[in-house]
Amino acid sequence: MLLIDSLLYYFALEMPVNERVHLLNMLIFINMLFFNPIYITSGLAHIARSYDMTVFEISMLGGWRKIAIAKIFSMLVYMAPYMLFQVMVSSLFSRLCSLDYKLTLYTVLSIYFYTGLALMLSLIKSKTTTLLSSTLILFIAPLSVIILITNYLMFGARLDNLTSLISYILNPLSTYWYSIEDPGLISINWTNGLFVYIAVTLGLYTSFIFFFERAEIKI
Amino acid sequence: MKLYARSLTKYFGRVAALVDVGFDINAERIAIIGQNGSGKSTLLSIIYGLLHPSRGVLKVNGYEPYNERERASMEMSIAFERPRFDINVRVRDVYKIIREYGDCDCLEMFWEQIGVKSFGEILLPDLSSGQKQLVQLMQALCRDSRIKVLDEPFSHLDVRNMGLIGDYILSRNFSVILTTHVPEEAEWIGEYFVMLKEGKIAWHGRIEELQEQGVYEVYLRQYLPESLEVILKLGYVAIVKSSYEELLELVERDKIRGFKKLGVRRYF
Repeated sequence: MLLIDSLLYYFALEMPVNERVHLLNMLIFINMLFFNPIYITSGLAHIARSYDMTVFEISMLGGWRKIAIAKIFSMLVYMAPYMLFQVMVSSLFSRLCSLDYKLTLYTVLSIYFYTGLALMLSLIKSKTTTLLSSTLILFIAPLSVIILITNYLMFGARLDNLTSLISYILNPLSTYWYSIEDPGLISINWTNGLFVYIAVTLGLYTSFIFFFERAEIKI
Repeated sequence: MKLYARSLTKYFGRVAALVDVGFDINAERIAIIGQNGSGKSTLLSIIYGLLHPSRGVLKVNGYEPYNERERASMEMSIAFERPRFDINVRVRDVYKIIREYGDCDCLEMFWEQIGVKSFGEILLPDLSSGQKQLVQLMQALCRDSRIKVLDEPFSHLDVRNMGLIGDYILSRNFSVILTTHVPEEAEWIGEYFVMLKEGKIAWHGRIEELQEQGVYEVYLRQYLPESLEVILKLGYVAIVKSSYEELLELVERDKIRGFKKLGVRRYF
């Protein structure tokens, strides 16, 4: 990851300003489709448990909510170095391409969102299924948005409100990026997209605690 | 401890694991007995609050544990049979966590006397079945909880460790709900008995209600003596009609290993 980002940054330095955005686009693509799924799934490997282990932890520590919150905290601590790295890289590239803070903001928020999604997947009974489905969904969800938006771009169409919302939720970074490239493409402005995104992300974490506390387990 | 159930039923798909189970018990040590597949673990899962019943109600000390899970998990600790540990944590780490707020005497018994210390460096997934059982019991018994819910606690344990843990359970003030398919284990620890058969209550009560004049459980020495009137033979134990003197004579002649008053085996 460090090597690829460093190479892209090096090449960007050599390019004219108006062409650097292509490398930034490539960086976003690589991050959303490869680095995020891999890193988040590796974090999930520490959180996902068999139900036997979950019951053992609940009995040992004396609480369902404690365990749920501990899982969220563990996951966020695991993601913190990755998030810091992505903040640094996106800040450097934003400055290089004369863009403002919004790109970095969406980079961080997208990691939070996918972490929340991965936590929801950790509720699946089988650890193997959790890890496999996490890798797939974290890869397919952002990719589907990229395919959707590029199709709309190709036909010169405009995304309606609902589709724009879904795009912001599933791949905010790419959606924001395409809204800069073609201001008429996305019908929701970035502020509204941001508020919805934050609400959905918080909803994911709250839902995780809610469903974890109500999981049915037979020993 | 009060344990109450009314019309308690649990389905898994079309399979009925428990059917119309009902009791109203006030005892400190409750033994739930039954053969494999009788619904013991399902009942225990509902008691600890891990499962909702499909129908009916169960209350532990006045509240429904599956509706008040936080309270249930604070007041109860559980040890279940054949755990599958899938995280790479060492036994000594589990010991250290419990030592923060658990019963130190209990922990020292497990760590030194029982010998959990000898496999303290081993990762949980790499433990043998007996070692896993000991770690589970250490967690359940030494944690500060009022009620211990134990699923087949003595399975995979050698006789010495079984004795130490059983004596510990009997010497302490906490309440115990345990399941077993071994009648002697139930009769050793339990005050009140619930006998399950195919998901239904076959019998529940105290041991004194079971005893019948002239009926005994006999521990066989290879072959069943022909002089005995057998009611039922279950492996190495037979339920027979006889007199105390006749059975004593058979023991002295080494024809049988021993005998005792009729107990919960009656309902097998």
